[in-house]
Amino acid sequence: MAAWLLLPVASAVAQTAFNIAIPDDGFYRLNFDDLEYAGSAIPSNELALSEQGSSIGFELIDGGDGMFGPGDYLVFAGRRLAGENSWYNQYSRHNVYRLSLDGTGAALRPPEPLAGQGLVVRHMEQDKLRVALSDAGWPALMERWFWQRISYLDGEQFALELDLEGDPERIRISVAGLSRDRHASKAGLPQHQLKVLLDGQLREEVQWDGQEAITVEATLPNPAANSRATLSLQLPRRVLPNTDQAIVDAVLLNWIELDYPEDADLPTIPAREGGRRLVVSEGHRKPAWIRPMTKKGELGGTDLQADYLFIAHPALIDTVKPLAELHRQAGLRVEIVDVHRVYDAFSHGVASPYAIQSFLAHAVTHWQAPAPRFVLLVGDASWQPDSPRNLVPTFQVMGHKEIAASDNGLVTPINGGWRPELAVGRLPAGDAAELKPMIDKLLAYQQADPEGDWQRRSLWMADVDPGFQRISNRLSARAARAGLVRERVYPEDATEDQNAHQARIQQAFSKGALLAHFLGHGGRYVWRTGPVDLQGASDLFDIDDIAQLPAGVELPLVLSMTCSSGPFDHPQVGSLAESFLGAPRRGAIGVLAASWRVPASQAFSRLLVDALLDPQLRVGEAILKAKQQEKNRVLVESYNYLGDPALSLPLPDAAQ
Amino acid sequence: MLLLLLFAGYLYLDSRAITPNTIRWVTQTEEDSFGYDVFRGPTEQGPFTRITPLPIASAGSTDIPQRYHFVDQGIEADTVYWYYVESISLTGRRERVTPVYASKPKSISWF
Repeated sequence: MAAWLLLPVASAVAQTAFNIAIPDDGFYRLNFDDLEYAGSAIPSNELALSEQGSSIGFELIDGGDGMFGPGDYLVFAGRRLAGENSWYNQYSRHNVYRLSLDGTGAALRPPEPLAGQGLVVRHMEQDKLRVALSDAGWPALMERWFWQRISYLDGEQFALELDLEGDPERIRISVAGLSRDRHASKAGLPQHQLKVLLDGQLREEVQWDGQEAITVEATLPNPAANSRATLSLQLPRRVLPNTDQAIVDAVLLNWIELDYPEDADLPTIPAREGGRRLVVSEGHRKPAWIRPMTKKGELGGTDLQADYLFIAHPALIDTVKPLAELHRQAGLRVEIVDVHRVYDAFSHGVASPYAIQSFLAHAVTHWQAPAPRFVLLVGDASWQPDSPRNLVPTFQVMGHKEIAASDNGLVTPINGGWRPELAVGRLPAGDAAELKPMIDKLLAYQQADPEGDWQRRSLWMADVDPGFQRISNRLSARAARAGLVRERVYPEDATEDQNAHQARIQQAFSKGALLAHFLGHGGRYVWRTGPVDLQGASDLFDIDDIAQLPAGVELPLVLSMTCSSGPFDHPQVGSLAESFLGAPRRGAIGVLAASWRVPASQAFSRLLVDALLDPQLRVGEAILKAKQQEKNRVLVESYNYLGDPALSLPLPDAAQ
Repeated sequence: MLLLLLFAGYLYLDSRAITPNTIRWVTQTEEDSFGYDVFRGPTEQGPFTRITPLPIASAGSTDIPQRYHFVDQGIEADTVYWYYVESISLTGRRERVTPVYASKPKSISWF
């Protein structure tokens, strides 16, 4: 027997509540036996299902006894988590529905009409390639995930076997321009020319310019001659007039849709945006995961107070506890918060950096004074939302023509602008084994006797570029006036032996230092520290060199003032900054590094150095002060601090 | 604006095989990249001719080091060739990204 229930959302979610994650549009079956529920059967009229706080109807199969128990299940029409202007959400691949076991006021009725008027559409999309269309205006700029790049360089270009069951009448294909060859425009030719073929027959051909997104439409033979057909998308190689050079033409495929007659005999659910129905897979799907909702805590209340918030993935909480204890002993009130509690309290269970932002805004404005000053993100992040390394998410912002990881937006809680308001740092560990060496270094550093020559030393690194060396000279002079000894490790000239120069860098680190500043060209794994060597690449200081640094506790805070040396959000590979921080007993005690391209800025380095040499400020507060004074938004958002923001540098007396 | 971007066209020639010449290059970062063409000349000063029938497709915009190669089948024995690599951006801009390097002359193997 089936009962139709539409239940109001419980005003207070009890502990007997579950988060149910679904990846896509479709019908989902939730079995009682799949719930981690220790109790016995529940009265069926006490069940409630919600999405983002709104009641959702469902079909309940309870055997007719009015009790939801073993062997029973419910079915609901689930909808994917859409993005701001994209089919899927860039921060989470899962929408979360919440099943509460103590609902009241059940009313019998069907969940929602599943048939009815409206275009019937099958949407096909695979998010495989992340690209920022930096020259496109809004809203095309907000679409960052694409199916495939298509160009005449890419072999067979694009081909897909279409299922034509149900006799679709029309196909629509969304593509965006990627290239924008100016030579084509000057010659009066379109920058893009795309051919749409079905089983080798040309169906449509379109031309357009720039990075704009267009939708190509083509009618289909109805009824279809065959139940399957091969769709091909091709960009022909076109040559510029009076040259042998081909036009640079590359486009991005976003999605494909098939339109069916309204009476098509296909399983559908009403689209969220209304006006059309989406074809979904036959039968009932299983949720991606089911997780008991975290116990209702006080995060959204007003009673708590903390100076320092650790927002941690649950797998890392035990490992980070000693660091929290160290700060407690030093007088800070530290609260360790499971990031899942943040999701449950501030985004209805959906994993999102916005949940962290909202939580911090709430804590700053509604918790007991004094408000939190420091935030430590305990866990790695990833731009691939379903990556196992995406433990504590970060924002993805537009940097210099590309997307950059940015923790800055997490701590802009009150004014909503781009300047941070709290000191934030991250320990980008993928698991407890990666976190342990970071914690061990932080504990050893803060518990060790700081006395020693190393606390007076500052390292200044640059390559042969006189401009970089001039800036480093000026910055190091400020450090010297504050009582630090400056050691400048520049290559003397283009003829200096590369191995000798790299050895000088190793020696400089081996003596220990309070601060290390690099200014110059760099990348994910490298600093260019020597004269350019395009054959041997011996001009590069890289992550292998970090592994060769001697062990010790006299580790510098590294300011890596270069492009892309700290993109901590890649799902598979690391970075120079992560290697500096993660190297056991060596490397750096903390690293400030950019997650994408950045301009050289003497002003930003000066703000940082001056603030770091202020004995009243801890590292995170110094970075916060510098960012609050910096005028270039790209610098503020692209530079992230990997380390403990409440770390105090043991400045020598002359600097105090 | 001076970007602190390291674009390094680290080019080297693989001369271990007798024939042909394999031209390899490595990038640390790439921005707005469409592909690469390889040029060959008889002397260091040229004249140079493009020897890639189609550009070698690139990774686009990336900060992950990429390795590329092109096999030059059209060489003659005991001849020194000079090579360089040119990048092609998505805006159609072409730029030489490596110095000019010489191959070692290859001798014919007799069976």
